[in-house]
Amino acid sequence: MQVSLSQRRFRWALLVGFLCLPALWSRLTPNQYRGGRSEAKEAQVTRNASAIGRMFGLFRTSMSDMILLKTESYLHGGVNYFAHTADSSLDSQGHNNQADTLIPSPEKDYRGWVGKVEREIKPWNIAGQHVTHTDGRQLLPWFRLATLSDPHHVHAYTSGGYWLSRHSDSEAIVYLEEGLHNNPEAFQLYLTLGQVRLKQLRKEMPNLFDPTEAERSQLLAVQETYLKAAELALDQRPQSDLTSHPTWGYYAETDAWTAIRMSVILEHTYGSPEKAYRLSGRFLNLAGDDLHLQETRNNLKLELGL
Amino acid sequence: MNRTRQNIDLISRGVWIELIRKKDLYVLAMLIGVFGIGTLTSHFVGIEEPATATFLFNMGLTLSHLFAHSLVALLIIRQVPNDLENRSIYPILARPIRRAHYLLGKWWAAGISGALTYGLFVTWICLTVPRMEEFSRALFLQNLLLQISSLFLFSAAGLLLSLVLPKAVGLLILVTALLIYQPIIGLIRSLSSGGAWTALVNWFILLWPDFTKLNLTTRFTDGLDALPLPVFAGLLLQAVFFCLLCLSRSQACFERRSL
Repeated sequence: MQVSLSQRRFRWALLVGFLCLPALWSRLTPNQYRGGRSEAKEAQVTRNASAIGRMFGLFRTSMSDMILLKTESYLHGGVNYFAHTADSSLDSQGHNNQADTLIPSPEKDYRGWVGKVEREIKPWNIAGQHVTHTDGRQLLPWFRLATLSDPHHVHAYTSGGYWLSRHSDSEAIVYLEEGLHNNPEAFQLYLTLGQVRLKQLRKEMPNLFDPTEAERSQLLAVQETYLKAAELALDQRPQSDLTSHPTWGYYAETDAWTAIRMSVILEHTYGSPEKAYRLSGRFLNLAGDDLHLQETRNNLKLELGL
Repeated sequence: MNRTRQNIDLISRGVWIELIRKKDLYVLAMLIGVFGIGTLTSHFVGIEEPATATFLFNMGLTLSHLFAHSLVALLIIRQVPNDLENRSIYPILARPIRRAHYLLGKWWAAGISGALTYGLFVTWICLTVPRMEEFSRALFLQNLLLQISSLFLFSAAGLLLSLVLPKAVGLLILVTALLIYQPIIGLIRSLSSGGAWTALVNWFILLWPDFTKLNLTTRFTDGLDALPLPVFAGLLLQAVFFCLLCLSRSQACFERRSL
């Protein structure tokens, strides 16, 4: 077959374009943006609570949410809970003891013997009574898939990091750092990273209460991580209506306080008591009253002779 | 020129006759119809929250995108292999039809079928789903154009795959590229991150068309503004370039093939 000169030129041009144009393609990212309606927590809550949202079941969630639900099912020995649809905020579902099972209990089941048969042949448990957890090894690939399909799925990173740390702290740290790279504003990731790092240091250090200088600097680096989590949490925490705020659930509040308390305690133990005292005062002013933090502050006050 | 158009037209008609005779289009139309009727019913009962209406709108547009691409994939992947299998390619090529025109006819017909299906489904969704929030009309048009270019690119990619791979494998690759491209790319990136190969892997990934970039549905329903003109032009250029590349490779493969 004869190939004409113009055809040959055209093919060469395509080849050159094929090899060189990726430099242009890499700049085209139309779907990377912030502030879309679908990302707004309020809109998510409204959608999930609506009758249509419930009717569509899993279709309303993203692929990563579906995968995350799979991890919960694996964790609970195959029992599927209603947490994602019954409870609106992703932050507050975790181990919600009030969560209903997808297969309803005898009291709530209108189906009579059909429901009884379903409860006999499928994994089912009384709502609110979690079955014994597995060691979490089977969950790990699902968390990995969830974060691959949605790198902004913070819940999958924090839960995955926790379960991974039960098997390997260093792997969990890499996983959480990847999460932070993708979600630099997620305070829960800083908190989980701090917890895993501290756990790792506890294993490595023979005497945590009398560390060497090198160990002390490592512990202070962990304190920095907690501090970062606390600062971000306070930035994101709503000013009022904490108990019924749609985007700030029970877990977000407890996570925020954990980060605040740990940053002060670690600063007190391994850093400067004066700085810890100032930090506790600042946090109490910003976040409101807290018995544990107040107690730490009182101890610091006595220690410093103030 | 006239002769070329006639040849392409002739081949295209064959594809359209097959499209009408097969069940694919009707099944997809029924599915989108059921979705529309369900939405109309809920509209009648009352959709109170704008977020719920937008969710339905997004779902409808996404289904239109998926169904139109599925139709193109199912249509294009079996064209050349079936013609070879049934030996119907011989009477076609016995006419004064060049092999390149034969391929162009197949590609064009599948692309047009997908574009018309998409247009029809989107119209149905726009008619049945209430729009309770503000959306950018310019972005809607941009999305429409990019979707059409994506369907033609999908058709070209399917044509090339059907020439070099078995039908089932080609279809699997097309579906993978459409549905789980991002997770796969994410996996490759995370496996190579931090290593010496990172830059090379990133460059290698960009050598293949990314259909997710040509789908602006979620950006549209998220209430964002239209894309800047250079970005939009770049995306169109990307689709056209990969389309030309696939067609050129298809022609090269098919010309060399002994029938």
